[in-house]
Formats: sequence, C-alpha cells, structure tokens
Amino acid sequence: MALADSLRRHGWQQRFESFLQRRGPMQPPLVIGYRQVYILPTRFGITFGVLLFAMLFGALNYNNNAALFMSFLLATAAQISTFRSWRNLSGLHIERIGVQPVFAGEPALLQIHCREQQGLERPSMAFSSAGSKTEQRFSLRPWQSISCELAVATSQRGWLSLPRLTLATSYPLGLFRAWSYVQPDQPCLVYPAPAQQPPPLPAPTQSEQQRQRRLQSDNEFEGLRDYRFGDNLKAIAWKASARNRQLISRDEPPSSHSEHMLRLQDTGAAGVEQQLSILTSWVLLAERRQHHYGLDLPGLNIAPDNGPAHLHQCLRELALWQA
Amino acid sequence: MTASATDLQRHMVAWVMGASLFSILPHLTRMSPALSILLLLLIAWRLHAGFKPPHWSIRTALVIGLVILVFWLNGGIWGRLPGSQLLCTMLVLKSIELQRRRDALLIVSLGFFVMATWFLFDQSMLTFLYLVAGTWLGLTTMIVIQREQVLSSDVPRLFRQGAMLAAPAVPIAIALFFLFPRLSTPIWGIQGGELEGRTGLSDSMSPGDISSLFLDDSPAFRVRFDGPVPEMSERYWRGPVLWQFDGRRWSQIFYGGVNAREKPAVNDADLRYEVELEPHRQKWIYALDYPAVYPEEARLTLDYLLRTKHPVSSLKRYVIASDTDFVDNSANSRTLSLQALQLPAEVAPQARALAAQWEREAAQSHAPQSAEQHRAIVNAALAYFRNEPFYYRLEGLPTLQDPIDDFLFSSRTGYCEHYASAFTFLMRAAGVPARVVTGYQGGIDNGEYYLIRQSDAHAWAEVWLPGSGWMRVDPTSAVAPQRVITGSRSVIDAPGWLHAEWLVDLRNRVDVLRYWWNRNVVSFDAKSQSRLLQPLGIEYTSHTRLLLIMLVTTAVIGLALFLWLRRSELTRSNDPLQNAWRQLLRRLQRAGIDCRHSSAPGELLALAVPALETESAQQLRQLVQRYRQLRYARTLPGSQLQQASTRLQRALRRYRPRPQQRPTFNLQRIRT
Repeated sequence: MALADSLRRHGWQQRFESFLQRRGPMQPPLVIGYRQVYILPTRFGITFGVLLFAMLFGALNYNNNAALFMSFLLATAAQISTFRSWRNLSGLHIERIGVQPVFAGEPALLQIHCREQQGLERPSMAFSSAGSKTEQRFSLRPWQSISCELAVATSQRGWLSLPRLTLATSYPLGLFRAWSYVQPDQPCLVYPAPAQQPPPLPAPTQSEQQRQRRLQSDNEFEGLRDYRFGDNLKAIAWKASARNRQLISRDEPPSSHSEHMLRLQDTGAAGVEQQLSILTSWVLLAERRQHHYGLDLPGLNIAPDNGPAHLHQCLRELALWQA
Repeated sequence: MTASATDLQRHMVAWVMGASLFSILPHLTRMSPALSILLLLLIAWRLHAGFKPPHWSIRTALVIGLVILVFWLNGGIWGRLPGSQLLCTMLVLKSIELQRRRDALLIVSLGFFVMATWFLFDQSMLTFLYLVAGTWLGLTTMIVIQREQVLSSDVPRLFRQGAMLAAPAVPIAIALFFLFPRLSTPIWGIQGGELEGRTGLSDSMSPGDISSLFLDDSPAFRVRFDGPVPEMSERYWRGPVLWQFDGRRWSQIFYGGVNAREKPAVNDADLRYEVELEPHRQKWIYALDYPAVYPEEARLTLDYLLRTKHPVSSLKRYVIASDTDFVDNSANSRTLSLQALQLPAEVAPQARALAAQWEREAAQSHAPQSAEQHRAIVNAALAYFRNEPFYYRLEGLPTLQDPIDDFLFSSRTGYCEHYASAFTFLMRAAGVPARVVTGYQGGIDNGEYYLIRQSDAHAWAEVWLPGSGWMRVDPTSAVAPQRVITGSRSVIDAPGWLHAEWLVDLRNRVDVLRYWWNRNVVSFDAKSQSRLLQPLGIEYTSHTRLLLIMLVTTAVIGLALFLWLRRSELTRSNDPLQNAWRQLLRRLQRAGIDCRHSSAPGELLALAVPALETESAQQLRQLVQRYRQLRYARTLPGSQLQQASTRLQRALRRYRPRPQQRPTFNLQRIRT
C-alpha cells in the first residue's frame, strides 16, 4: 500500500494503473490470478530480517555452526512463508460485489461474496478500501462461501464509483504482506442526505382526479363488487350487503390520505443541495405517513404515489437531479 | 467480526509465554538460581494475571532492578554469559508488557535470538535438536498470532503448518550451511577469561578433586592416531604440572609457565595424532609426552605443558607429534630444584620420618645425590605402597586432618590423587626433586578414534634423576596396576547400574554419533568448506565464487521445492472428503476409465458406468449420489454433516471398481 501511495504521489499513477491492468482483470466475477498477488515485507518482517542478520553475523564471527544453521533455517522458513501467503490469496473466487444505495454521509456497505473453491484453508485475510483505515478480516474454510461486508464512506449524492479494494493477508508468519486488488464493477447510488430538521410538509394538494373520486364516492352503487376474502371490514358496503343478502365490498375505499406535490421552491432553503436534502426528508416523511407524494422539479415530474418502489424512484431522481 | 490487526487475544498470551519459556529454559539452567527463579515467577505471574499488564511504574522498577541484578551477579554485562542472561531478562520483561500482536511477534523473534545464543555455550547434537524443536514451536506460535481464533482441535494442524514451513526449509538451510562463505578469521575478538562453569581438571589439586570426576562420563577429548598407537599403560595425557604444596593443595607456580628452553626435535617425533578437545574453559591443551609439533596458538612451557592464550571455550581440534624419548631437563636448574623440594612446615611428621629413614638406607649403598640413590628411594616408596595394606577405592574416604600422614598411616584408602600427593611428598622429604602431574590416563578404543572421558582423569608424579631428567612414576600402578593397564573403570566398583555392560556400550555408541557431529557440523569451517568442494572439481578461490555456487544451488533446490509444494497442495487438500474423492478417481483411472483429476461427479458417472460391472456401477452411482448431496446440498447441521462426511470418506476409500469383462476367447473351449 505504502508503495502504491508513494508511486501515485510522484505522478506514476498512469503507469501503475496500466501495470495493474496488464496483470489481469480486477472486476468480479474474478478468480485471483497468480500474477495478481503482490508481496512485500511488513515492518515487523524488516525487524525480523535485521535480527536474523545479527544472528548470522554473530554466528559467522564465532564460527558457531549450529547458530549459523538456525539462522539459515529461519531465513528459509521466512522465505517459504511468502509462498504460503501467496497461496492464501491466489485462486480465491470473488463472485460479485453488491451494494445497496445509501444516504450521503452514511457508509455504503459493500457485500463481497467470496468462495473457496480449491479445498484450501484460507485464514486471516482482510478487505480494505483505498483511503480508509478500517478493514474487514475474514477466514475461509475449504469450499466455504462467505459474504463479507465492508463499509465505504460516502459524502455527496449521485453515483459513487467505488474505490479499489485491497484484499490482503500476512498469514502465516506476519513477516510478509501479500495483497491483491479488486475493483468493484458497479457504482453505488448515494441519495442526498436527509435534512436534520426539515420544515413541515407543505399542505396537501387536491388533484382533479381526487376531487372527482370524492364526487363518485357519493354514488352509493358505484364500484360495488362481491366480497373477496381478505377485504377490509371498512370496505364492506353493509347496506348493499344487507340488500343483496351477501357481502359486498366497495371497490376502492374512500381515500383518507392526502396528496403532496413536493417542489424545490416550497423548501424555503437557499442552496440547491439543501433544497434537495429537505425534499429527501419530506419524501421519507410522506412515505412513513403513507401519504401519496410526487416530485415537481424543473425537468422532472413524478406523479404522486407511495410504496417502496416509488420511494426508491423518487430518491434516485433526487440523487441524480441536475439543475 | 470486526477485529483490528493490532489486538491480542487471550490464548495468544499463553502461546507466546510458552514459546519464550522454551527458548530461555537452557539459559535458566546456567544462570544463578536466584535469577532463574525470579524469571520463572515473572512468567507465572504474567500467565496468572491474564490479559492486563502491570502498571508502568512496576514495569520500570522491574527493568532497572533486574538489569542491576544481572550486573551484580556477573560482575559486569560484557561477555556471553551476562549478555545472554540480559537477553533472557529482556525477553521476560517484554512478555510482561505484552499487549499487542506486534509485541507478541517481537517476543517470539527475540526468542529465536535467545535460543541461538545458547549455541555459544553448547553445540551438542541434543541441544541442536532441542533448539530445532524450539524453532518449530516459535514458528507455530507466529502462526497462532496471525489467526483470529484457535480452537483446541486446531492445535495439531497448526503444528503441522509450522512444520510445513520449517521442514521444506531444511534442504535449503543445509545447502546454505555448507556453501555460505565463512570467515577464516573472526572480525571481532572472542572474549576470554569469563567466570563460567569449568569442567574437567583445574589448575590445582586438593583431595577429592579428581575422584569427583570419576562419575563424570562425559568426553574430555578424542584422539585419532596417525600411525602407531601406544599401549594403554603408556597413554599419559599430560595436563597441569603442580609444584607447590601447602599441606593440602597442590598448585602451579609462575616459573613453570615460562617457555621451555629445549624443545623436542620434530624429526624425533614418533607419535602423530589429532586431538579433538571438548571445551574445558582452561588455558591449556592435552598431549602425550613430549610435544614436538603443536598448534601455533599454543606454547610449550618449562614443565612441558601446552598453554593457550585464551581458554578453550569451543570444540578445539589440533594435531600433535610427540617424541616419547625426549630427555627433560637432564641438568636441573637450582631454582627448579629448590621448588621441587619445597615442603610445607610442620606437616606430616611421620611421613618425614619414614622418608628420612629411606634416605639413610639409600645413602648406605649409594653415593648421596646420585641417580642410583634417588632410584633406590623411589623403589623403597613403591615397595612400601605395594607391600603395606593400601587400597585403591573411591567410597568411604574419611576426611583427613593431615592429608599425608592420615592417608599413609591410618586410612590407607584413596584415589590416584592421594597416592600421587603422598608419593611426591615422600620423595621431597627424602631429598628427591619431585612434582605432581595431573591429566588423563588411558582412553578406550571407540573404533575410529580413542575416547578419553572425564572419568579417566588421573594424577601421577614425576621425579628428577641426575642425568636422566624428569621421569614419570605412577604410584597408583604399585597399588592397583589394572588402573593403568585396563583403565579407570576396572578398578573401582561404582554403582552397578551405571557401568552395566550394555549401558557402557550404548554410551560408547552415542559418543560415535557425537564424534561424527563434532567433526562434520560443529567444527565445519572455511578449510573444511574448500575440502568439501575439491572433489567436485571446484577449486576454492574466492568468496564471490562460493556465493555464486551457493546461489545457484539454493535456486535449484528452491525451484524443486516450489514445484513440489504446488503439486502437493493441488493434489492434497485439507479437506479429507476431497482427498477420499480423489483417491476414488485415481482408482478408477487405474481401472482404465478415462476420468480426470477434475472430473465432475456427473461427468464421472457418464464415463465410468458403461465400463463397469452392473453391481460395481450401482455402487459407484450410490457413492456419487451421496457425494453430491453432501457437497452441494448442505442441508445437514454441522455435527451430522461431519459424521456423514466421515462415513462417506470411508465408503469412498473402500470402493474398488470392477471393470466389465471384455468378451474374450474362452481358452478352455479352444483347447478341447
């Protein structure tokens, strides 16, 4: 990592990227190739090396053959540990990386699906993302599949292209750190951050359709149909049922909800981002209260409705809306 | 699930402490008991206290206190003994404040270093094996530190992983060992004159000194003769020569340490041999009378001892040529004569009287101060030892008030040191210059070489005869001739089990192994390195060239190792079910079915069923069905899954495919 950072600082970004690209694809689905595992000693590895060198030098000076052999044994074991580290990552199957939309400022949770498919135990691996200190440690037993969650910080709305992830291990001895890069293939949708203290929802607007429906509902026989199992008790037209000696339901219960058209200018805030924030919290509020709501923004018009799909559509448009 | 790489878990503390205890254990046996008990207590405390390290003030106080203690116990901190003790102390103190993974790793690697320093004291094969085991434990501990969790059922597997790091390293380490360029001279000096436990003979002799060595069966040195081998009764390995007597203790004198005036001529040397001396931490080396050729770093003293500049603190190998006929100081100097007649005042009046009587008797028939008179006195003394009831025995030695008189006239029981001491005293009292020589006598033939043990330590006397110089007289041979003829063991009834025939035999065999180890490993150096390469047609020229050979060799071994590791990892996994499955595939391959290593179960059935007998095919179908269920439809809970897997493994391994009989000619029908 340190190496990658310093290279980047010195304007070697381009070369570094093309170097990584030449080693093989990094986007899931991906089996980490043997050329895609990089390895360098850790700080402890360097300390250990110094210690071994001291041991070697002392043993040479005193012509102490047993100590000499021991330092050779340790040095070679350390060298062999690089093979084990490499083996820990190489051949790991990363099936996909999923991510759910989040509100700006909240961490996006990446779901990294990994599968062990070589019958090896792969202990002590960790995912981390560029520019973040947190890491997610995990281990895989032979043939195990796992879904690993990694948090990535978000700051502004819109499409967030996810940073390159680092999959690293210092198993088995902690002397060397082997790592490999994984590039998430899809961006993360970041909704605007909901305002902390939004103004109250604007007054409901009565649409033409609604007014008509109210008129219609006065008609006693309009929209009556046979009772269906599961109909709300309130929806049963008792009079009509009595008349027909069977249960009869009203087709659409008279709507008790109000309808809100949400507009930028109603928010009373100054900047566009604040306005969008207030709209976001309004949308969430309206959804929670089961109101029907729609958006009326320049170049964007969403008819009033509610439900998760509608909510998602509204938030998505708010996230991507450009003045 | 989120755990950072820095935090340390409880089980790791126990592992780390175990590994560090293992690495300091040999040192603990050598340091002062107070310090070693203190260190053990600290380790126990850390383990008992569990996870939380003590307050920083306590730790600081401990560091300062212990460093002062080491300093005080050793009278300094320089040299390998205090140095290694300090390292051990530091290791234990670092374990006290063990808090993070980084600390744990550092402690384990310091442990390796501490282990290696033990080789400065002892390079025996047993130590080596102990420390290789310690390396294994250390590597396993490092693996444990890297893991999130360690179940007790994981432990054997972790040790196996540790072994899989260390074992493949062995061939490369051996290659490096033999090919890595050695220093022909050390870069910094080797400390000498340290206060360390010495083994073997010392530079003085009091009653009980040599007999205390009798039960010590450890090797003192080994000798390989090049040419004729002297009789056992002639193999007197000369050590310190003792001139000064204080009534109890014989010791060396300064004057005996000056350089010899006459040296035996190289051409007269009739015995050539190579000695491999175990470190005895004294400044002399042993040889037969009288060394004409000896190593450069030794010098020959006036009393013909080979003195070295530094104590022998590691295995020493040297070549000697001895001239047995050399005449030592035929004309004795006045100073030396006086010294060789020195007697402490007011000691042993009875012995003095006896000696005076012999002197008078000898003077009657021989000229005073002539060689003949001296010989007569010597013979009188030997006859006295032979004829009076003297016993050569180790047990039940009384403590003597006056060591000479009590021994000569009341107890009459003793070991070689008593005889040598009393004889020399009598000679001096009778006017014959005499001195005590300590060393080893005899040694057994152990095949390729002669083995001289500590128990062969011996003391004898030398008397000076005008014209003939110093002559060896062994009063012990007058009392117990077999001591000199067949060796120390034949004389004394030591505890029976210790000298049971098979045990002695076993110990001699073990020594052959030790000899091999010393020759080929411990004393391998730059010279042996060039000898090793010569038969391969490589003339040892420079370090650069050697480095090149080393790199090429290790690269070749490394490559082979890498390929083998990859192969073994690919064909053998940690999953026993997978292994059983692969075994089944191999069996089918051998039965002539063209399935691959990677064949999927369905594919396998399609290939194998037509080629197998109906019943065999049916069995295979069932096995494959079970394998699929277990592998791909994981519906069973953990423990049941484990059982089912074990059962299936067994079934897979038991299965033997029976290929369909091809229609062949029935031979019998043809015959009829």
